[in-house]
Amino acid sequence: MKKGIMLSAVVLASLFSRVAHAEEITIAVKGMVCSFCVQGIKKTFLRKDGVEQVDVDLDKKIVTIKTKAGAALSDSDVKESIVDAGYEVLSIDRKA
Amino acid sequence: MKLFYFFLLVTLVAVQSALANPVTFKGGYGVMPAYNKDWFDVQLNYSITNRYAVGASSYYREGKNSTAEFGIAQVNYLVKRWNELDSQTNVNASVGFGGRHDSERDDAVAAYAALEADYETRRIYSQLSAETLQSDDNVQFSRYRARGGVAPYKAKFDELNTWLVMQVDIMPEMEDSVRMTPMVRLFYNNYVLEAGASIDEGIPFVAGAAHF
Repeated sequence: MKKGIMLSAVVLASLFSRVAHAEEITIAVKGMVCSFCVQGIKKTFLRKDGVEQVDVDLDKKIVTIKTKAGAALSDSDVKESIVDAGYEVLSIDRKA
Repeated sequence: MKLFYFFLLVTLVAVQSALANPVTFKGGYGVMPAYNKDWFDVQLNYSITNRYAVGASSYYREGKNSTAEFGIAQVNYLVKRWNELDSQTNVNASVGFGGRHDSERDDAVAAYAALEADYETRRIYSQLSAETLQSDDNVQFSRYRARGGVAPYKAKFDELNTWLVMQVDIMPEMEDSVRMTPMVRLFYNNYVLEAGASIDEGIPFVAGAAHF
């Protein structure tokens, strides 16, 4: 009985920690050359409910998204947002 | 009066935010006012997708033979964009329909068409464009434009970006039909301000743009 309760607690804690963690998504983007480009990308992502913060490194052509705790942003969501802003995705990396 | 409207618009733009490319990002708005001695343009648009925008424009032209105002509802289409790691190339087309108004003639139906291509890196900027306004009673104004610019320094996106630009306008229906205008182009976040004066006559040129 005790073992069962402990196992359930561990499983629940593991699930909760996965759901509750914010995620950092690093996207390499093609075509981003000016502040209008950056503003378009930032505005497009910040309209999404799960996005907490958007940072852009124009020198490295990198967009970094921080999601809200518990929010999910799939690769297809990311690609769709970059395309909606008018650009192309080179790669997507994720860090919990 | 047109100057008043220009400054009113610039003020509105400054308060809200505003446009440059005829198509921005999906759901984005743009505002582009531009003023020269004898012409004034303002375009407002909304990008339905990253390829299509709809908008309303007003064009004032004080030509050699006629003066007219055009009110045009237009569609802008991003024909092609080449996204590269360090550059972006665009071809845009616009068509529109509306009316022409002036005090010397009856009002008339009018149409607008434009084609634009640009290439931009963080240090180099170039643009070619052609546009025409035509009413059904043969009042016509055309403008062919070439632009080239350099950024003397590479700025971060949230810093002031400065560009030095040379613009050549050919406008057959206007006095001083060829104008070479060196200008400064300032980019800050979602705002652009351009200001210069033509080499020969010192004709002032002021334009703005914002996306929001």
